[in-house]
Amino acid sequence: MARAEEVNPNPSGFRLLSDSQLEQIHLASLEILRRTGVRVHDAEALELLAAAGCVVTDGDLVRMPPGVVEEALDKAPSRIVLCSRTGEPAMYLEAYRSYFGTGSDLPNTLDLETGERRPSVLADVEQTARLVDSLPNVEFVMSMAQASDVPAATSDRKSFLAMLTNTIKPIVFTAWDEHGLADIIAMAQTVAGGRDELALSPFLFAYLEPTSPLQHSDVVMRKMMMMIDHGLPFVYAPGPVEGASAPITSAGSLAMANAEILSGMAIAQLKKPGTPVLFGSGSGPLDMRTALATYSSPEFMHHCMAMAELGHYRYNLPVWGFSGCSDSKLADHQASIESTIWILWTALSGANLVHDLGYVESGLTCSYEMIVLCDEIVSYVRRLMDGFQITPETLALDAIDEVGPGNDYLGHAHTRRHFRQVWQPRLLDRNTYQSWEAADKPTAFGTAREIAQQAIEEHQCDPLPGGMLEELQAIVAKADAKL
Amino acid sequence: MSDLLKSLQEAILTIDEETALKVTQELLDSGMEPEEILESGMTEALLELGRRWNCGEAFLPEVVAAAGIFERCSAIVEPALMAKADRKVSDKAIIATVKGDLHDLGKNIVGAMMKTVGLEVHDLGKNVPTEKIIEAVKELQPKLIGLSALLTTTMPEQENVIKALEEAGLRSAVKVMVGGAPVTQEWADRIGADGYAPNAPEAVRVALELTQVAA
Repeated sequence: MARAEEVNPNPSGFRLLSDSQLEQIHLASLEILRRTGVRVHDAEALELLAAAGCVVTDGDLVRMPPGVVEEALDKAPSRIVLCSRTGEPAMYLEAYRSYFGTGSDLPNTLDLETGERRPSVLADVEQTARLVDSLPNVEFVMSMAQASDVPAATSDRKSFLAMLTNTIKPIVFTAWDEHGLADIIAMAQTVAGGRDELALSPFLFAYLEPTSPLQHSDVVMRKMMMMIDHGLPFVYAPGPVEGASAPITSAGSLAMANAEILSGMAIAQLKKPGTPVLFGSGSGPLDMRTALATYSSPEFMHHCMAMAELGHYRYNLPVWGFSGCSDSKLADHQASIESTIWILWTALSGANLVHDLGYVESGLTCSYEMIVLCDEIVSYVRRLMDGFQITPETLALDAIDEVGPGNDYLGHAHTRRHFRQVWQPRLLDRNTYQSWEAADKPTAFGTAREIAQQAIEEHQCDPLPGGMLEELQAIVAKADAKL
Repeated sequence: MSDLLKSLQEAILTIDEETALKVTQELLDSGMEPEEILESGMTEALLELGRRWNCGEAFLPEVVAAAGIFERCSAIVEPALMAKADRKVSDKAIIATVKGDLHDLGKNIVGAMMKTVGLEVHDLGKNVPTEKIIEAVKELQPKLIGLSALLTTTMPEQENVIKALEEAGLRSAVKVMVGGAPVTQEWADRIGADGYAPNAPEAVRVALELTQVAA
């Protein structure tokens, strides 16, 4: 998408919360930080906060004056640009531009050949990355799979390398700790040609999260500090479960999650003003019948919409989003329903970096077929969100007059000029019954599977420059040698 | 069953803590054996709640609240119970979130639900060092340990606890269950755990199976 394009601040005009409701959430979050505070399990962060005027008691309990939080917020940039591995701008995280990608670290995968649920392996990271590289509407990758066939301690480096070698699209990654992160950054700097080039045109983005309720863990703080030191962007997005690690009510959960983000944002901006941080959080209710966290619910979607609106209208920050994920165990009707509602809703929200396409079983299982189906849904929804133009040419008064009452438009030049603008599905079926039957009665699921299989077998990702792969592998091998 | 015992059950089932505590004390004052109060009153109420949970009639917040009331009623009958030498003990379970990990939600849910099947649950908390778990095993002699880890970085602590149990010569005396979002059956097998469950209801089923095998 070219930067020069007009940026409509809110193409659909949809709003869930008014400005004054957003202000209520903001004020409540400030009050949580003043009155209840957050636990900060990191010495450097504690020092920064204390020096800025926060009150630290009981070793690590930090209560924050509103001014400290608001001043920090003013310092965060309003846009983040993510590039491809080859340094081309790929995503402008700003305004209502939405970009979609997969999710990370799923222990199970629905096998593409057998359909059976099995433990995820490193090949799933490679294959989902290659699949995403081939898809026209999925713009970034995450690992999808948590590889069970390599030692856990260094699997974060291997996943990152697997993504690097199978797609040039931006990578949103997770690192287990600061050691894994240091290796991943070293790999990325090798690819980008140095520290400064990578910071200016990053193709990687870290997923970091506080521990709800109201805790900043030591490992995550150390990772955050390292990202800041290298000038690299990240999201610090909590995932509280309503009724369990957050209040059951949407408003309370929003206020608390926002307090977690704002306190993390304050630490980041105190450490280095101007640090690029994406804003957002994902939170839905615990299902009180099963004790499981749901991944697709109206409440979860309310939370994400409200977070997007806080980002757009209250804080002027780019926004993290969720989409295309399902509680269903399969890539089935339920998964399609939930993914479709999610994608449409998130597009309406204008969240910028939207992850979790292809998630089933409430974020425990990867489905290749759902990644492909989500690609189609994103395409459909984008066309919806684009709306249509009203100009003399599109109003077609001349064509209407020339065709006149009772005749047809099929042969008219106006039709030829414009019919290619009509959205065409890639896998949704629009054939006659007879031709559908003649084609062996394809289903959307079956076609999605074929597309995935074909991409994995045939798609070629742009290779790394000669000799670079060996350099990257050496970084991973060094980490393995320490095991 | 005495009306008072019935009203104790009722108070626990309806999350009426004030009444539950009052009635427990009254029963004790009336001379009823502490075991009977514990088993026929309190435990029976939690078991009933477990049955209701299984058929979708009870919800998690009720289970957790009732388990909390159970704990506080226990504190009332405990002194009388401890005073008796021949007391019957129920199966004990220790649960903990391993060192380095602050996530205790899943562990708390599992703990509350284990109580609904009659296990005596000792929750050591979150970020629990291995040495503390070993000490607790020596002191309480549980049949079961449940270890929770939500991070890939803290999962190895589950393995460390199992190793420490072996070194302390305690491994054969206790069954070890592991759980947490990144934990899988493969991981459980690899580190030599006795049981794994992907969610709380399954954890309770596995816990029962393991404690009955151990019985």
